[in-house]
Amino acid sequence: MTASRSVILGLVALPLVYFTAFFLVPLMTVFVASLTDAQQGGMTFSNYARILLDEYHWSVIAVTFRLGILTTLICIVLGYPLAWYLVRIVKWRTWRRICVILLVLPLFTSNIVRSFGWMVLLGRNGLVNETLQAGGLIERPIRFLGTETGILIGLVYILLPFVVLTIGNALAKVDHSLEQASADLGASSASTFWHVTFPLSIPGVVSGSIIVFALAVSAYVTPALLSGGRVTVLAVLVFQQYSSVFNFHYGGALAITLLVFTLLMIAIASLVSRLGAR
Amino acid sequence: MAGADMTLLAIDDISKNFGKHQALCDISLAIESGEFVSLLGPSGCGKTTLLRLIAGFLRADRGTISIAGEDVTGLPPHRRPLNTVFQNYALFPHLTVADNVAYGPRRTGAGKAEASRRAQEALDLVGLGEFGDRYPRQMSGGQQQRVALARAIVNRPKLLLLDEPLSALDLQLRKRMQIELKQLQEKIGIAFVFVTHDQEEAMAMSDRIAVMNAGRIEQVGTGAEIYRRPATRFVAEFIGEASLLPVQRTGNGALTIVPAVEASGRSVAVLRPEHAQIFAGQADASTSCNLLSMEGHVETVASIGGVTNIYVRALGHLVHARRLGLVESGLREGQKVVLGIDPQNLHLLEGPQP
Ligand SMILES: Nc1ncnc2c1ncn2[C@@H]1O[C@H](COP(=O)(O)OP(=O)(O)OP(=O)(O)O)[C@@H](O)[C@H]1O
Ligand SMILES: [Mg+2]
Repeated sequence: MTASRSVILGLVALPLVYFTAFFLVPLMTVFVASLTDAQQGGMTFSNYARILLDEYHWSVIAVTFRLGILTTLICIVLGYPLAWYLVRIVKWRTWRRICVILLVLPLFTSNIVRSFGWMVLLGRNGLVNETLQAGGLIERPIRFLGTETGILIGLVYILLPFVVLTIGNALAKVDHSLEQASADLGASSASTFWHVTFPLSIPGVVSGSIIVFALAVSAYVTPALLSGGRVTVLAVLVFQQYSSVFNFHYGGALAITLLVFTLLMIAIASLVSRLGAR
Repeated sequence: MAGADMTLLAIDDISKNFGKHQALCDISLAIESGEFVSLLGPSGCGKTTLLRLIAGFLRADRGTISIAGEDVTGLPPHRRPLNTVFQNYALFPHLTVADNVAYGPRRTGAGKAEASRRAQEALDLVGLGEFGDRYPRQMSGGQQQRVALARAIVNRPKLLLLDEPLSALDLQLRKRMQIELKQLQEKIGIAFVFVTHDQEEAMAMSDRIAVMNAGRIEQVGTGAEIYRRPATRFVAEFIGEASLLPVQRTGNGALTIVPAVEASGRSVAVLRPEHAQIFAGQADASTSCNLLSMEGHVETVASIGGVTNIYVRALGHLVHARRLGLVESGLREGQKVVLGIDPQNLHLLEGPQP
């Protein structure tokens, strides 16, 4: 009896210890630092006041979340058809496998390398501008670097695989006989997609969106490299405070602000989607 | 044309291959309005494939299918005037029971109110009027089966295809649903094509049964016909129980049974166990005239419930006999007996048998 009780205690305690060590403690450390005064010590909200009462900080927050939302939307719009193609259209297994490998391969290379790649491609005389000019679509090169558009392109490129994988996974799980039942009941293919396939793939869309959004608003490398210092996002501010200014209190407050806003956005999104499902 | 009016579903010379594997071969079948036809056959014989061809989920390599006189061979599933009850029910998990049933009317142009009125009607018909607000996962297997049925009949198709719709239910429920399904079918007058590999189910429910084997239809007929006059050896052995006995005609045209050692190349007669009589001695057997008699000995006696199965070895054949009730005294294993068979009860299979 005592043996089994200690086993149960162990089973409860292990995950608890794990979560405490890896998630709670680091988070609490940042949180406590953010509430501590940089000079005198002691508790203070001044770090937060410095952020929330300042227009510049609000504009950084706005840029960060605008980039996050746009990245998520574009990733879904591009990723859904891609996932559909991989799961539903491709019949030849080898080709599907090749596509999946091509899709995830970039994830194994460094973010920095890929962002530098885009710096080269998007530059004044980069491949993108040259192609557009050669095609006669534009007369003078477009400035991508140092604009939100440039960062957006980089983020979409880096985060697209996550959406394709989660949506593809959800699509693969949709039982084929449900679509056949829909056709049997008189629904055309398009109607079947809207009334059966798409609703059943929404869990994949939602989890993909959350992953992409969270990664996009907290991304540092891509915005830092593609912004050329002209566009600032929250993660870049945080990094500056921790790595060059060494103000862990103000930096911590920035990090917590980012976290709270992210959770808030996800909560609003899931509330909206739940109301929409009614 | 009068005959053609009656034919609801006409399947003509359908063949279907999967790669090198021939799943269906030269299938022809005609089904009348309001008829209940079962497709019966062992696993892998092509029943589901035939059903999917009729529904339009598969394309045939050769042959045509027409429904109510219209050639539907090239039509996609949603343009065919029939509905299907799927083996796993295939209920939409994201829709309530009522919305599942209303799905058909909604997609075929009915308004919201009209669709839900018809859905309610169909649910009432299967006895689930109260359950419209639930989700499929909140229903038992039997209830889900009825929802699938309601969803399939709500558009009032002329033809309903059912792929082993009762196979997921336990025996009790299954028996009850057989009766309910049959009653419902008669009430609404829809023709059913019902796939099963349970011959009792097929016998109990169908107007006609199509017995399939290895991608072909071996025989089509009423339950009594295929039991009494099986067309092929396969049907004789697959439907009910039978002893297959090689026979020949003597000079005066009478049948005699040939010993097992001389069996090859003879015609074969089918003997049902209830038609094999057992006598204690030759004298008893000859009291009733015209019986073919064979001497033999009892090999096995097995009582199961209300019937006793007796296997007698005679002329090298193992003949199966059946009696109602417990076996009478004195019938022991190894005992010498005489088998008596009324030649009228022997059904001769056509053509030379292997
Ligand atoms: N999509 C397919 N690809 C290749 N072979 C198939 C396919 N569908 C069915 N077959 C083959 O065709 C044959 C008939 O299959 P079918 O599903 O029609 O059998 P069935 O009579 O319904 O059997 P069961 O009683 O087990 O359901 C089987 O040998 C099966 O392996
Ligand atoms: Mg089958």
